[in-house]
Amino acid sequence: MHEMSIAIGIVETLKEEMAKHPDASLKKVKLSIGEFSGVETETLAFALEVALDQENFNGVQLDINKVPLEARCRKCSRLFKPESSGFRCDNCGSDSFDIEAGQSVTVDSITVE
Amino acid sequence: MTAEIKIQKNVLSKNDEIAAQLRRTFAERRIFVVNILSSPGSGKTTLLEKTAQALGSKLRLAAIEGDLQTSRDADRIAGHGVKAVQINTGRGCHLDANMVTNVLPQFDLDAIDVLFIENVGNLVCPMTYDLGEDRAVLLVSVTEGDDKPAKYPTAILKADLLLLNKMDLQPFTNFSTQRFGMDVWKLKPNLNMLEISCTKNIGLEAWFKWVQSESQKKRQS
Repeated sequence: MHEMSIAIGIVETLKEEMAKHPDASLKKVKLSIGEFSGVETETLAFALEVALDQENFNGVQLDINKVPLEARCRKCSRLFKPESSGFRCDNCGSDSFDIEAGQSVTVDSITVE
Repeated sequence: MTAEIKIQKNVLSKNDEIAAQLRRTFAERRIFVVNILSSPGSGKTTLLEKTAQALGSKLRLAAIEGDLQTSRDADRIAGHGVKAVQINTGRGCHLDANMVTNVLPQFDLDAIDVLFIENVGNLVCPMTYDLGEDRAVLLVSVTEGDDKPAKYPTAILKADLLLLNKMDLQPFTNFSTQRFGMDVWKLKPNLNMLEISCTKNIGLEAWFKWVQSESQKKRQS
C-alpha cells in the first residue's frame, strides 16, 4: 500500500502552501487521480484523512477527480481513450501512441477561508 | 472569505526529480540500469543469479535488492561475486528514487556496466515510481496464471521487456500462452516477450544477449 506515502507527500505540499497563508484555514483540496496511476482512489482518500488529521487539518473536504487514460496517436495526432478502443487509435487504427493523461496524481487546487 | 488557490502540482514530482538526477548520474558513467518488476516468487533473484553466472566475466554487474525484510537476496547475488546491496523497506511496498540514491555511495560507480534494481515483489505500487532506470523488465511466471496482464495493465504499460518464467512448469498448469499473449498484445502490441525457465536454463540466451546489447548501446551513447 503506497497510498499512505503518497498521502503524506500531498500533506507536505498542503503545509508548504498553507505556510504562505498563515491566517487562513484549509477547507477543501481538489485532486486529480489518473485511472492508470497505480493509485487506488478510496485507499488514498482514507490515507489522506489520517495524514490530514495528524497535521491538525480538520474537516477538510476532498474533491477527487478521476482521470481516464488518454493517448495521442503518433500517426494522425488524434487524442483518444485507449481503454475503450482496445489500445488502438479509434481514427486510424494505429497501435503507436503516447500516453498523455491518466497516469499521474496531481494536487489541482486548495480552497481556504 | 473563501478563496480557491491553483496549485497544479504532480504529487510524484519529488520522486521524478530525484529519478532524473539518478538518470544523469548513470548516464555520465554509461551504466545500463534495469528495474526488475514482478510478483513475489516469480524468480527475480534466480534470474539475477543465472545472469551473474553467465555474464559475470563479460560485464561488470551490480545489484540493488529491494525487500521488506532480510538480506537473503543480496546474499544470494553476492555469492556469485556480484556487488549487491540490500534495501529493506520495512512495511514499504516499493522502492523509490530516494532509496536508490541513498545506497549509491556503497557502490564504486566507475566499476559498473550494468546495475540491476530488483524491486519489491508487487505488481501494483512499484509501477508508480521512476528509479532512473533505462529499461523496466517485467517478470511473470506461468504459475501465477495467464490473467495477470489483464488484471495488472499498469505493469504491462510500464514494461520494456516481458520475461515469462517457469515455462518448464506449464504442462502442470492451465496457463495458456496464447491467452496471455493476446492480453499483452491488446495493451502493448510492440512489447517483446521471451519465454524462459531460470531453473532449467531455457530461453536464457536471448535474455543474456538483450542485456549485453543494451549495455553496449549505453556505453556507446
